[in-house]
Amino acid sequence: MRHQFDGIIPPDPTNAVADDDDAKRLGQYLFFDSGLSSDGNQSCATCHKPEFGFADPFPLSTALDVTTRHTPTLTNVVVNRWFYWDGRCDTLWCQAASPLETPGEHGTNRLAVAHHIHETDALHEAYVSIFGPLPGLDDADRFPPNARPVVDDETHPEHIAWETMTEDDQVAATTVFVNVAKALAAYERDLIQMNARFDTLLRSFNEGDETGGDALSLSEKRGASLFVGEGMCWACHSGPGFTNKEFHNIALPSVEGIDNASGGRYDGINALLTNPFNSLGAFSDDRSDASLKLTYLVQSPEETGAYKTPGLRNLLDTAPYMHGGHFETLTEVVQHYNQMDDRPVIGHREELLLPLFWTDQQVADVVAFLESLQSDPIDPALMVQPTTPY
Amino acid sequence: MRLYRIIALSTLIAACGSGASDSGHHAHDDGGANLPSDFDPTTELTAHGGAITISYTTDPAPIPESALFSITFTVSEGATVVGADATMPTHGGHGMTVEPQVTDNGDGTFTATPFEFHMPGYWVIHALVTDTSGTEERVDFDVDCCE
Repeated sequence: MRHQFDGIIPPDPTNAVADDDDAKRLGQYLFFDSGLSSDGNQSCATCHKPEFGFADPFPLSTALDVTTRHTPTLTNVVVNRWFYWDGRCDTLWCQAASPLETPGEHGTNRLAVAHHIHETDALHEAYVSIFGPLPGLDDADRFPPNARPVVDDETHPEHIAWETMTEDDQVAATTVFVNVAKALAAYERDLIQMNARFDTLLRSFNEGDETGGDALSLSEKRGASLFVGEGMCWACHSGPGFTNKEFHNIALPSVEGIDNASGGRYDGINALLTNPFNSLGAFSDDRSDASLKLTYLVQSPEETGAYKTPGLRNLLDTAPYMHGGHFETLTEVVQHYNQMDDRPVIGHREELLLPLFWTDQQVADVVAFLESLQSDPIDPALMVQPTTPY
Repeated sequence: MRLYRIIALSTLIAACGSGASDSGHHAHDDGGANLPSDFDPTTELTAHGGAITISYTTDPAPIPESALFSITFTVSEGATVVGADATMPTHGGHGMTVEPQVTDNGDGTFTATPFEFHMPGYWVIHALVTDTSGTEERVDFDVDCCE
């Protein structure tokens, strides 16, 4: 029953507004707000398209530039422990913040975000009702229109502007920026889709029906049997989200447009530990849980070329698959595991993975099972921008 | 409960003649269902020629899958636990994603935390135990993860 969702959304004590209804509404409004971009044309929904499971139907997304990895879904994102394919964030609000200042994605900066909130009446009103007063953003000497720390380029105009600010004002501006991200995260926590026919089967088991009832077809049941039997897929795809939330190297083939020799999780840990928006950072609302998770994290060579195990729910919405959009169809995905004849570009393959030599019918059965993990659509009201942010 | 009802499903399908698998295939090494023949889930072992007894409990118990937990070791008088770790021997010996630290509780018990078994299957908990002379010995506890 490890795959059964109990309806309990994991808490996030690092985000004080994670479950605040007003923050959720503000976050939903901001999710579709292209004012959070340098050209006024990019929003979170540009890449995380609601009509495509809050993912992207292309292997790589196009915002200000082409992204370097496939856009993962945000449905059921709340079950994750780590965020991004390489786990460079350990809070959802860290993940929500990062694209805003990524030059090829939203391409904006925290001062521009703060000014946008301050100068847009509806956002100003919503923000202060949730987070309290904004800093003195009308003072352009203290709060320049565009500024952010640019760690790898201190000659960048936005970094130069950042350096003109006092430390207190830097913290104040960053706090506004982080609060925007926390509102976005609060909204994303509501994007839950975990009521598939497979869950109906599990409920049948709970009620004593050893056959699992008629929720799944015979092919889907055969696929389920292979998934938990000789396929051992559940070793990594476990839990209500069908992910163990950790990282594995599954020897994917090279594809165009991404760094196939990236260190994956190994590099992600470096980014995670130095990220000011991690759960141990100054902007976290509760660091107690993080002390074990981050303090004792191991950076092992085993994690070279490893990427986060994606969930397996609602896959019909989120093709293509894998961190580079490697596979267009679920049949291709299952055949990759079935054949397991690629050498990893970097690192070494998860030891559990060996060729399965399944027949075409067995592959089809597993695909059918995966498709049975499709849930009813998310509430349409959550898929559009509300008329107001409050 | 470890998917016993899914296994029942497998049995049902096999009984219907639909054949969940054919001969000649190569099942994944699950490290769990295929435990070593000498698998022993005991929580108490001896070391240093029997001079030292070491046992353990976990918090929470039973060990959760993909969640942090602690292990408290209880040892004979004069013994010390100086290190602890865990690996999956049938998965190339890969370890956990966290590195536990050991704390001497001062009462003959030692708490190592955090542990996390991020995959189900056969794990081995390793405890490094010293005797009164300071000689180290590794003690290995078999675990079938998880409930």
